[in-house]
Amino acid sequence: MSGGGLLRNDGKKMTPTAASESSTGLKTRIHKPLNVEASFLNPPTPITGVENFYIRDHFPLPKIDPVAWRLKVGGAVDKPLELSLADLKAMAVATHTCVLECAGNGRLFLHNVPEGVQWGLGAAGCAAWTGVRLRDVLALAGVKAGAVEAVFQGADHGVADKQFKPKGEIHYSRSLPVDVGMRPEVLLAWAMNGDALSSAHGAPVRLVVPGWYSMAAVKWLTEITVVERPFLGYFQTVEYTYWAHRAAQGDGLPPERIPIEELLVKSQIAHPVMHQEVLAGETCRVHGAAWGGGAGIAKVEVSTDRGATWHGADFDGAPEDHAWQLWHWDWKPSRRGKRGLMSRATDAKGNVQPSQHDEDHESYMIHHTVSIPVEVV
Amino acid sequence: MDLYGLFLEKLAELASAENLLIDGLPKLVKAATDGELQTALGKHLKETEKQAVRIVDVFGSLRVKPERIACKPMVALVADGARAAAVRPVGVIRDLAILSAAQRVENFEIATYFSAISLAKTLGYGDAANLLVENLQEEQRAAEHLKKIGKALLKQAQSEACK
Repeated sequence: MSGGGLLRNDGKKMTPTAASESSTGLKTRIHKPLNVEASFLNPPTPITGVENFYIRDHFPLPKIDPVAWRLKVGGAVDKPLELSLADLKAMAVATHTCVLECAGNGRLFLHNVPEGVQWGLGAAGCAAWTGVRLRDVLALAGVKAGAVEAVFQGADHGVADKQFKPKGEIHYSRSLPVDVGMRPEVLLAWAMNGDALSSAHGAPVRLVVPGWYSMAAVKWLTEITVVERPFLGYFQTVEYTYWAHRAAQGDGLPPERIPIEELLVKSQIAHPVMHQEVLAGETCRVHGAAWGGGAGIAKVEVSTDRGATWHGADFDGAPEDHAWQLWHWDWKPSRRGKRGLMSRATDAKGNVQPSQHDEDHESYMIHHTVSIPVEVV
Repeated sequence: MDLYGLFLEKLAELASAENLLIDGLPKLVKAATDGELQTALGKHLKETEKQAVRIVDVFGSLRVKPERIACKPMVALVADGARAAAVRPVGVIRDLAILSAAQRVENFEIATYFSAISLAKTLGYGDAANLLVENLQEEQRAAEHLKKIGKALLKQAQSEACK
């Protein structure tokens, strides 16, 4: 819980709730397993420091000796491998900046009470990840012609949470189609923002899949198994799934339950924070960030009347494909009273943030425009 | 009363409910004869103590002093549980009566947490919503555990009836 002494832009004290919502640092939402929310884009820097990066665990933190640690690569490969951290570091090194967003980020803005952490805005961050390209490791092992997916298993394990779950303990595991795994930006990362990956963020090595929700970014990676059929594990079929309507593709089939993959276009307001008071007649800088699956953000708009009218925001800095795009818009409110601030992003492919959450996404992929309540005083 | 007022009322109700349980649960723990039921109730008593603290934290996150009210449904449910234990001789039937009382308590709490969380979310109080979710999840796990114990006790009661 934060102290009540945070200051507004004009140096006056914030309302207590606004102070609570804007406090810097991390807030533990669930202790076991650890789920920690950040204060979104606070401080407002293009790169999120580890001290401000959210943590989403599914099971207790595994204990790993980095010296004894080995990454096994097996399944439908010509040459199964066991690689140490030194082996990986001896390969060609790559760095890529990308957003990681939990698939449940924004759950606070859904009206029902879905299971899981009620993330507000803070289960998203943008970091520079350094490691080896997954495709280089797969090339070393030699992926067989019939391979369709690679399954990534973490060292973390426990009993699953949902009603429909397998007996006993399972490891966290997710798969990627082989063609996605071959993209140059997909990394087996051992560093975050230039520093060794911390245990909380998946040390010694985690998968990073730029442009995908972070359930794909398997932490504490221990095994990669190449498979010749789609993997149907718990986190692929029970959690992190949604109803997709593929009828538009012309096959006429009913909705299908499929695993969550790419990030949907989204923007969030970092300032003002919820319940903040802003001064009538003075300029208030509304700022935030926008991101998506890699198409690039074309524009961000801001509304001060819950979406009735929109104003174009300016970008801060040049866009990078998987990084978030910072933006701002200066607002000079004249009328006192309660307002709802909204932001809306459009990507380069013309995808726009919708005004309503898609119920077929259930408690995931929450990217609709949300109203941030503020009071003009 | 506006939405915010209703939210504070629900919070006060939950604060009272958890405190009433802290007082009432020890009697049920003592009266239970089945080891697993006794352990489950004892464990939930410890959780309830933590839950009461979390509700104080919810009020703290809103910078509001809790209003002291008595949660009437919980007064009745706790009294009902005590009576269930007192009027029956030691044995599996008494354990089933205690279990039933505990399950009713859990279901009441779950429903009340659901409405408080919905209000917190609608009002945009993230800290409050998440503290309440942590309590809700403990209640749901406790209810699930009681359900499993219930199955075993029913089997035991059935086999005793057939002797």
